[in-house]
Amino acid sequence: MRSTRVIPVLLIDGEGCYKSIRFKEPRYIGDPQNAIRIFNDLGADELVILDIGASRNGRGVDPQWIADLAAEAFMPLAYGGGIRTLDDAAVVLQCGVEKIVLNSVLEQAASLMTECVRQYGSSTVVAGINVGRDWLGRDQVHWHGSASKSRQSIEGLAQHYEALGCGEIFLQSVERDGTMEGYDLGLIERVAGSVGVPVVACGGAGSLDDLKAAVNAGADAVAAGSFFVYRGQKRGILINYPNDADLSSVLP
Amino acid sequence: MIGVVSCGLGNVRSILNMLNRIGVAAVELTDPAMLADVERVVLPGVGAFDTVMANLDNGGWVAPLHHTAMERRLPMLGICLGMQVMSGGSEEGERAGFGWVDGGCRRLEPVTAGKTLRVPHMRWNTVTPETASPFLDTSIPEHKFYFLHTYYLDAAESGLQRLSTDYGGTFTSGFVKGNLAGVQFHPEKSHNFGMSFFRHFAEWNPA
Repeated sequence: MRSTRVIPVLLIDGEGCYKSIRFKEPRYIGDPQNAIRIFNDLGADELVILDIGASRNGRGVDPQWIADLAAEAFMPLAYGGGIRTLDDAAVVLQCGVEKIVLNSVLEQAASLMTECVRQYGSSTVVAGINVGRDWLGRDQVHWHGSASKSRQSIEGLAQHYEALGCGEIFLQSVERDGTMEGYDLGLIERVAGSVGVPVVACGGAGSLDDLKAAVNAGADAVAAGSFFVYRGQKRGILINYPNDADLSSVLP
Repeated sequence: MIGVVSCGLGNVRSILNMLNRIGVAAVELTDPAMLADVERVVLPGVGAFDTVMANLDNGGWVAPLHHTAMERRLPMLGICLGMQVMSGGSEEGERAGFGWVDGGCRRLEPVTAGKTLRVPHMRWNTVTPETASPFLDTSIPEHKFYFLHTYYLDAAESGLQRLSTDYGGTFTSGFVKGNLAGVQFHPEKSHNFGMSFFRHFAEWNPA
């Protein structure tokens, strides 16, 4: 059977799903519970839900809301956004979520990764890295949406997270986000080549060929937002997911 | 009516949602006394063997579940840890399981082409019935379900109708023994495959 996981990403702010372009201009897509139900029907392998408002607005986790979302999902779920303490992690996992994604909190408190791994095991903890470029084209890590940026080696950061025990790296290209022009294959190759943990690539998928290219570049799993939410040149909103036969014909 | 045991550990809400979605009447069992009003039972479980047995014990579930399984002989489905506690015990812990299946649970040690695979087994994987399974539609060519576990059932007894899965070696991913069934995977996290599975369980008439 196909081993490559193909993962829709839902970005939530408040009670709605949004889709951005390069982490900007969020466009309302619809109701998350409805989106989850459609992905259930279409047989998505897994789902990632990221609360993009949480980090920016200093909001934490809302257990009732997360539990409602988790109860709708008939596939494994990873949740990220606003997880800042071990208690937050506990709350999220108790809601029926399989994995937590830690991202912005790690800028100042990478030790949270270690604590979560010790408590819940590596497979439960995903390290999220958002990558942009500065005006000279050099790698930058974007934190808190893109509110703060730091120029540093992405490979180095990924290796650091691997050393702290994360189960996988969720690697998002800010530049490619929402463009549907293809993944940043060079970035995927560099990061996948520098760590042993699975790399989930995100940002830029526009076609099945793009998914294939990302896997060839070293991604263990391919994630996408726009690709599963838009249809056509005018980007009409249509939640979609390729059928298993089509995916298996293109991906290992 | 299907009763889903709720002892604090297990995806009860997801299971209820999925049963609801396929139009099967189900209720959350928050008290062992509620077992009297159902005709089928689902026993979910996640986490560690001892913690699940402790929760069942503390909630007063052990004797009532034993009565339901062995005397009333209701169709009962154990999911993940729910399946494991049907055995005698686990390498993972100290507590005894229900002992309805002879054998215990061992830690996965998956090796493929000389390489040790990651544990826990956390991924979709194929499930193959060794003999015809009452839960797997024969019209579906390949059965895939989501797995998330570190231990597996190691039961030598010959009376089991088994499902098997390969992960660095084959292991028993499901069984049927009389009115008891167990699956190591999570049908409630396996969308269409899970729904088909539960539809069959809802109609299952154990011999």
